[in-house]
Amino acid sequence: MSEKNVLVVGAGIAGLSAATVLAKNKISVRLVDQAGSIGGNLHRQANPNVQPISRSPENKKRWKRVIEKFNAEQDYISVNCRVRFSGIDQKGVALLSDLNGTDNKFIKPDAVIIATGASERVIPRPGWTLANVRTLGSIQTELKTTSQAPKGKIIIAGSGPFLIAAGAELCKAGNPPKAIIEGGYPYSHILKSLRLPPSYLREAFDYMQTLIRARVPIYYKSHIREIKTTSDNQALEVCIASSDGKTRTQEIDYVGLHDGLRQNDYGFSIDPHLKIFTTGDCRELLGGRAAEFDGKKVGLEVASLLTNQSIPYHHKREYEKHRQAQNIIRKIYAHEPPLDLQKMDEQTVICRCENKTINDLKKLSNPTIREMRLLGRFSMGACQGRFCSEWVQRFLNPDTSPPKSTLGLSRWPVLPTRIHNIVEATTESTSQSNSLIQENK
Amino acid sequence: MTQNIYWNNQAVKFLDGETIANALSRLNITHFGYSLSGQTRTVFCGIGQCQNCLVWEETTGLIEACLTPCKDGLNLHSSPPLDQKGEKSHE
Repeated sequence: MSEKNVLVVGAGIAGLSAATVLAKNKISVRLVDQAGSIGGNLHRQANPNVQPISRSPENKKRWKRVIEKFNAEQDYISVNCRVRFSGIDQKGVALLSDLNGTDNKFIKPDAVIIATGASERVIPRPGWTLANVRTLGSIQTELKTTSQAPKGKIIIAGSGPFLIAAGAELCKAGNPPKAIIEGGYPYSHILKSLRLPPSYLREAFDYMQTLIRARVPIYYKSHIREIKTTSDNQALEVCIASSDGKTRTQEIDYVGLHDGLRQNDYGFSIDPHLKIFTTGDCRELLGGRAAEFDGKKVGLEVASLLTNQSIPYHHKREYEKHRQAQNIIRKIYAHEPPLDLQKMDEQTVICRCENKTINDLKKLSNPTIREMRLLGRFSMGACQGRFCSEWVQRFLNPDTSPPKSTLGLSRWPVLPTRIHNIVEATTESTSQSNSLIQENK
Repeated sequence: MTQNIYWNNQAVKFLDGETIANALSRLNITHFGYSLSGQTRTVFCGIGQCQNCLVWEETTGLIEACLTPCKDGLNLHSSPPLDQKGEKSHE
């Protein structure tokens, strides 16, 4: 085994690709993921004894390519699923815990690669905190792991290609969505979309075919404005508004919301003298195709650094192609923000964790970031601001976009951690680690 | 052999590899009670980021329903039980 060891957090495409090239360069890798198996969001594996929902040929091909290379390097890789990474301190000590909190370890790797993917953006609106109102990604996760869609009538709303992708998967699972509510109108940019690489177009075409065959209605330039429970409390009632100002209501059991993605890099205070790198969607939102190349690139960067040799990398053009493609997709789906927080009912919750409303935010009148956190409790909840900080900032500075501030960022740990996990943790030392624990003793 | 978790003392069967949320979803149990701030506990993000789906497990305390795998005999409750002093247990 090599003397150098790297911790890779997140076993999606980027993390797997990074781990593979590190191992190829004889560097020991510990790959951790909170989920029950490797694959990340895009290649999430079905539970044992469950027939997986059929994937697109592109998806299957990529997985085969990535996993074959990964499996070939097993001598240098240990995979720990259902393991939490709580964060890394200023001395480079990381805390790893199993989900029950019974096995807690401090480790001091020579470098860390963060490949934690994306978070879904969901614009707050009245009723978005009700049971059965979920991110579309959570519906897809349930679908991919159990091969079963949530039982009942599902409606999908938001914007972007993920809506048709998840919609098509619901069709394959035998529960087509009752409707897809898309904020944009991609068909007004036919020429632009033809500039997309063929594999992107083929994928979109396949999804659309599945949706058309299942007769799923797609409403463009529309959005879900409000969600209520029905009077008998047995279902949900969504208010759908279109760009011409017309509204209608529909009774439904599940709402899947998805207003885009953002990097899931919350809580990392990246000290420049620590060897911490980010890759995949957590660094730049370019999707699975680019993540394969980016993971490899960052893995090689780290390998070069740790072995003191320059290892050449040749995939730059491929990566640039995917960046351009994502730019085109963004333009195709671009539309005016459908929901105006300034005009929304003041009782609408913005911060889900602390149950804080638009009215609570208004009461702060011109707060500094510190006041927003300490007085308002915004971004102080268990989600670390992942689901509120963007909207708090947009509400306070509607003209600056995208909002730039430190609200919700740079705060240890990256997820809720029990004191017990820290107290009980044992130091796992592979090298002469001068970890925080030993110093404290 | 059927394996069960217990949700508010009701037996809920599960299959290998399923999370608590997966098993409860099969019975359409999607409302897990309320947080101390009054928010509905339910699956929202499904991947451990939002912390909206916390449920009370008798030995560990609050755990994420969306991540935690089922284990035979796991006892789960929809809200933190009161402690001996009659106060809500600390989150």
